[in-house]
Amino acid sequence: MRSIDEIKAILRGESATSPADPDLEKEVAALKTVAVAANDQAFAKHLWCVGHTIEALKSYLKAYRQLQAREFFEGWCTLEQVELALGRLRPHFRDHWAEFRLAFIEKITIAIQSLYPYRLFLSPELLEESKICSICKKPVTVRITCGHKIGEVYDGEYCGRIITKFRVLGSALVRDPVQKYSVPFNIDRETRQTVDHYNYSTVEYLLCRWPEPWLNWDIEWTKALHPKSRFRPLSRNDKCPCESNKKYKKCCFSREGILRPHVIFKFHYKLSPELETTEFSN
Amino acid sequence: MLEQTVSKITTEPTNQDLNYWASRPYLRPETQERVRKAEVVLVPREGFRDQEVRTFPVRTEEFYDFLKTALSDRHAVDLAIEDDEYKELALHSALIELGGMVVLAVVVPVVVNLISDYINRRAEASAKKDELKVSFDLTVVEQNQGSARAIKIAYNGPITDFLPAILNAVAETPRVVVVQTPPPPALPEAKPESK
Repeated sequence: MRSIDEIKAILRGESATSPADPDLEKEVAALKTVAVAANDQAFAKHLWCVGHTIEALKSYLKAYRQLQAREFFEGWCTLEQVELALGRLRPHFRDHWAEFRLAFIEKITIAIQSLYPYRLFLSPELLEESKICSICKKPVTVRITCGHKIGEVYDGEYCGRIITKFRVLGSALVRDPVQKYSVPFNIDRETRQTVDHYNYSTVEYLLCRWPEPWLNWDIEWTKALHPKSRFRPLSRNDKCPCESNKKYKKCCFSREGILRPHVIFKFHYKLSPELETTEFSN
Repeated sequence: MLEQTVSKITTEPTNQDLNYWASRPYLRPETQERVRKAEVVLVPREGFRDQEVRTFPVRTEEFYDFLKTALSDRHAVDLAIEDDEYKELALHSALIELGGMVVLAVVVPVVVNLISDYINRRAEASAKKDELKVSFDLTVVEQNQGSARAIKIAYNGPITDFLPAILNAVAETPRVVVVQTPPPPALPEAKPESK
């Protein structure tokens, strides 16, 4: 069994062992059991942070594998898991963000998410009627709580609320969802199978130029004029293809081209000459 | 990314002061009394999607606990709901929604600072902190012997703008006309105990 320092060296990338090594989580759990038995709350919390760092790095590597296998939706969902793990971790582990490569995976996760074509999401409206504390499992009401605070760590476990009774009041299509995984897909009328109708060419462009998950790159979003010939013939009352939600006649009609999002990639490593174009528009 | 969010703040007179909330028929007399005497009251949204429910935004439990912890030794904080009727509504957007609150004018500076502190704490969990949006309704009540000046300040916009926007709105509240508060309905008289 490794010591906490050896485990942390793996998370820093100083060892050949991958953060996805399944033994790592078991070893941290064992250390945490000892810390909790000794009522060493500070160390138990630190071990929760280390365990959650493993989870974030592991999810990141999984997302990378899924993307390279062109499992785009699965990769998207795993990137959301990275985002959620980092969100829980940040208030407790901010000082170690760069040390354990969390700043790196956060930057890359946000950048990849911005390259995805998903714009609208299905989102339920939930009426949460009763809940219990995830730590002590006692019922929680607004005035009578168990004393465990949401987002804190007790006995090396994260405190949240478990909803025990809820009702769905409705659902909506939204741009900025709480759950990013609720992506709507088309259904094939004949086979009734889900059809992934999205265009992943921007993500694809990146993946062809990103051979290792720890290689660093950046993107810069801007806008550029695109020749009108690249778009289907537009009438004045059509929706403008620049995604402004305005009518074409009131938007890009009088411009020389269509002003659309444009991304510039900056790869901080050597690309093969045939892949060196670093700008992409769709 | 490339989208811009426009902040929206509205200020309008309202009759929904502490007496209004203390008179809601779904409150028991003892809760009505506490709400009437409170200085900060979190109030529910009524009739979402025509449902016969009173709802608070998700994580109100946490916000209420935050306010109670910060204010309880100096100011009375309460909710216009019974404990067994308390329900949270989880909606779609990844925004920090605080819902409605009614606050006596004398404690507004303290409460605005606390709102700011709470929002910043919540935002810390986000990698894109400056892109978050915030929404809340703050009703400021100035009580004066039977009449009350109540102004509802509603904010929905970027996290980066909310503090200056709300401070400006609060600073301008004295210009709003006085709204006469209707007297609260009489509480049912206590029946004499049978001997």
